Amino acid sequence: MIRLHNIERSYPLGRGQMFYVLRDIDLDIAAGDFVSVMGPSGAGKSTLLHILGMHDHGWTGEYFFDETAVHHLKSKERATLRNEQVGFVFQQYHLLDDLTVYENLDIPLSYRHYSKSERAALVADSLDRFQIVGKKDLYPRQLSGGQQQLVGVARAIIASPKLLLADEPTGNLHSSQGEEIMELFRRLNEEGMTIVQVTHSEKNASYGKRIIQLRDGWIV
Amino acid sequence: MLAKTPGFAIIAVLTLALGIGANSAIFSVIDAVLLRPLPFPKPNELIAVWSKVQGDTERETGSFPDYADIRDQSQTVESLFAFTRAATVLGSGSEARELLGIAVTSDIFRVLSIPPLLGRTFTQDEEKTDARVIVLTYETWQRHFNRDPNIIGREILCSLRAYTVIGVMPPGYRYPIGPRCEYFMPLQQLVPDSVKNRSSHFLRFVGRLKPSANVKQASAEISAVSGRMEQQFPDSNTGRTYYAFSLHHDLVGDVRPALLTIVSAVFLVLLIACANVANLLLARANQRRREIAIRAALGAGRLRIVTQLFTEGLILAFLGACTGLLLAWWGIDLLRVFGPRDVPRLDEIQINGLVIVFTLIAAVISTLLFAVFPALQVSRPNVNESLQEGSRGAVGRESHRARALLVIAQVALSMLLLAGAGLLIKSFGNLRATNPGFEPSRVLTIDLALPRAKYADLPLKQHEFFERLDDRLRTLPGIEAAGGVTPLPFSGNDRASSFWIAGRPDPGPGNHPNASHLTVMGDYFRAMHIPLLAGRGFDSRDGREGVPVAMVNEAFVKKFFDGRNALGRYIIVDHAEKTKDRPLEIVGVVGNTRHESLAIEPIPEFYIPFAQDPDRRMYLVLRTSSEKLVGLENSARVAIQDIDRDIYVPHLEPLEKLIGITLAQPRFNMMLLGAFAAVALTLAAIGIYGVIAYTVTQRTKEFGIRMALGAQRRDMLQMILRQSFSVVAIGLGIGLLAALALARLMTSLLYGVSAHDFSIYALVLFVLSIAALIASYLPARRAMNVDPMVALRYE
Ligand SMILES: Nc1ncnc2c1ncn2[C@@H]1O[C@H](COP(=O)(O)OP(=O)(O)OP(=O)(O)O)[C@@H](O)[C@H]1O
Ligand SMILES: [Mg+2]
Repeated sequence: MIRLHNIERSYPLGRGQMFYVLRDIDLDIAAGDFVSVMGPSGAGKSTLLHILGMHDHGWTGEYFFDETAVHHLKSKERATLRNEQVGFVFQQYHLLDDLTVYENLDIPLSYRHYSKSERAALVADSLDRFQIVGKKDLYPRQLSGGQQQLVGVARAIIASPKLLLADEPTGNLHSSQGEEIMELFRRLNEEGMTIVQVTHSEKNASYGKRIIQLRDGWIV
Repeated sequence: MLAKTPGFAIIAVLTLALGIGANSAIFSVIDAVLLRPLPFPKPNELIAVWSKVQGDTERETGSFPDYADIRDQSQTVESLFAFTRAATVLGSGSEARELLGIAVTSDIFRVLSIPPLLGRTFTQDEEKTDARVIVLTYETWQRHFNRDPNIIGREILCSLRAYTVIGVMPPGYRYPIGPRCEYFMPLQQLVPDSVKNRSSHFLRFVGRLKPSANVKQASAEISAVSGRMEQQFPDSNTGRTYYAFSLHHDLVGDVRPALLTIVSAVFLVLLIACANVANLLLARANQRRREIAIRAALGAGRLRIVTQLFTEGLILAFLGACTGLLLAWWGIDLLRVFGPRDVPRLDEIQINGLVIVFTLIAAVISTLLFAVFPALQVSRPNVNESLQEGSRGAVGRESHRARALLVIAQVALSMLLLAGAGLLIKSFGNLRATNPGFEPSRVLTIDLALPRAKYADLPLKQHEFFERLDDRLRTLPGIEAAGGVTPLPFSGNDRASSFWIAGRPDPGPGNHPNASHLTVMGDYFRAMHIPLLAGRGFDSRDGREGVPVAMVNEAFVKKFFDGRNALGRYIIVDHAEKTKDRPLEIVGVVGNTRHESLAIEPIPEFYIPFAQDPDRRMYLVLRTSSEKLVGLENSARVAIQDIDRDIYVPHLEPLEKLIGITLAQPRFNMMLLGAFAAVALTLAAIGIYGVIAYTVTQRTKEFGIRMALGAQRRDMLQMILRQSFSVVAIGLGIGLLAALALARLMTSLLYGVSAHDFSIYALVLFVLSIAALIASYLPARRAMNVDPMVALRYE
């Protein structure tokens, strides 16, 4: 499904120097795979995920998504591809402060071809599944960090993306809740969703089919 | 603080300068025209006396015998003068210059209560003698006599008659308070016959009340006097009532609706400017919220913070006011140049102490208006929240609402202004497109008055002169048709005579109807392209000794003959000494023409051939074959002075120019309101742009998140435009309702368009929507191009 070849991501350091966050990344991810990305802080995990999610385009190299050459796409075409294929859990949750839980969950649906009633049904399902029905009218700042993370996860999968990119989806959760999320991911994966998650926990990583170790921008 | 953000300060000051400057300029007009007392002692005692005739317009002039009766019988009026505008030619030959002045009774000097600078004024006894005396204005003395210290007692030639200068009035003394009044002559000497005729209504009366009386009492008393006159002189006075109102009101009453419309408009501009500055301040206050919160946490009282905001606001407003005064100063020059001549005292407009005080007050009011929003917002910040959450949260939403309110206000106010301007523009278009009933292009006119000294009361001589002139004129090169008329349409003069239709039961002279009475010479109708609809035009049959004849216009036939055949019928014009009260046979019907202005429907008119109704004054009308005829003025002068070299020949005036003068006031209203509407539209667009641009930068992170969650470019654009329009639409709705409600107040300024004209409102809605769309689209494009990665990292 995904083929990265010689991906490099760098930031200028000043005085002509470059700081390489990712170096010479070659990576194949087949459809239906469940990959865990691990590595120390600052290794470039989030950077890699944002590249996969087509948020970032300041990289060099080749990125094929199915047969599409992402490195040749214009930002508008990338947006379309992202819209059709990708769900994303942000490390910092990134819920919209001015919207309620319900409205936050509705965002991805509003940008895809769903009817009003389908949207309502999907949001209701999701609230149910994550046991946050009681919170649906609250604003993010009225939730705990863990609750916000749950909403972030729910929002990422609500539109049933083919590819789920999750940046430490359980970082702030109680271990039993974390397990539930991991079980959910496993189920989604079995149903055919391709998943790439970043995690610091060996236990979570074990839910995946394989582990990629990143260190200082290199896959090791 | 302001010095640190000069861009912000400059934009705020310029916006305020525009708003305040426009207000100061218009206030200076209000001051000169409406507020400043008349330049005479105890101006509140001055009154204007007019007559009204049943079923006719108000503010009719009056006759001399009526004037004398009112003056002598009234107990409330201390003194009263009668006057008519006059013109004279000073000097003779190539030195001749035209002076405009008034023929007036001696009472003027008592009524206006200002003594002469030099010499003396004329007396009531002097008026009745033949001793020809003249009083000059200071400006005439200066311009035409080089301030000759020995002017008193000097004889000067006025229209070929010797007059003794007996006095010079102090600077600025003139009546009426129009731009040109250059001398005062005794009325009775000038028109000894007309002053004896109670049916000759050609005089305006102005008086001074006794200190104990008020205008109401005086008006009642004068009406009572005119009631007695009605009984005594039914022939001339039936249905005519005299009444009084304050002179100040008389002078400014006509321009008041226009000025009030303009004042409201310019005030709206200031409001919109304030809304813009408030928006700028809000955005800035938001950026400074952390700073303010920290200060508050450190113990700065709320009052101190608000005080600081208002101080900053006052500084901005003061700078705006100073710049605004500069703009006003230029604006006033423009107003003087483009302002219509018939606005009284327009030349007295200036920036004086009162205007400066007004400007400062406007600045303070503006400050209150634009600083109150940010002050409200920061005066109750939740200190904790601001410190914790950085730049987002409940306060952000509140300021968002404040900004939305400002946009709504701006849009609504602009809607009002645009609707007003739209209505005036359409009115003006209608007015210009109105057919006057003749074809004014390529018609040149000469206002020719034969000197009284040689031609007064000599109809034969008058006739002979114009007869010869007519023959000469038609042979001038480049002339297609030549004729004459008095009074000329759009010349500012008109004449009405009462008449009766022979053969109908006569209700008595006092109940006779009026119609416009024109005397025509030569090929007048052909020169003007006024169509002959029935019968024949005047020709050689209609000479002095021929059967008395008349032509009438369509409106006349419609009103007095129910639109049926009028040919062969006879009218008897009252008090027509020249036609010896003989019935006139109607021999022709011509098309209607508009006379006073394009806005006034044609009224019934009858025309009498010059040979049977000679006059000392004629407007020559020359239709030329080409737009610019070089040398025509000269050849016309030669033609005239060949016949009598003592005749003063004024410049040729194109008829189109005369029509243009009557359009000056509506054009001026339209231009002014149009300019304000344009400023309003621009400011509102800038306001919308500012708010959307600010929102877009504030929400960059949100946009990044939304894009990461699947939003595409058009989704972002739609979202921003939808949010912008949900605000703009409320403004449009409120503005539309307000405009519909307020437009009715403008009715007196409109012509041929309803105050609720659908097309105007639709167009204005469209224009404002387009402006709002552009103003939102430009910053919204930036949201579309947000790089999600940058946005997600944005903090
Ligand atoms: N905009 C930027 N400019 C410069 N350097 C950046 C920028 N964004 C990220 N980096 C650097 O890239 C490196 C990788 O960052 P990244 O967020 O991918 O790390 P991570 O592996 O996700 O770490 P963590 O486990 O803490 O989330 C870091 O050293 C970071 O400082
Ligand atoms: Mg990370």
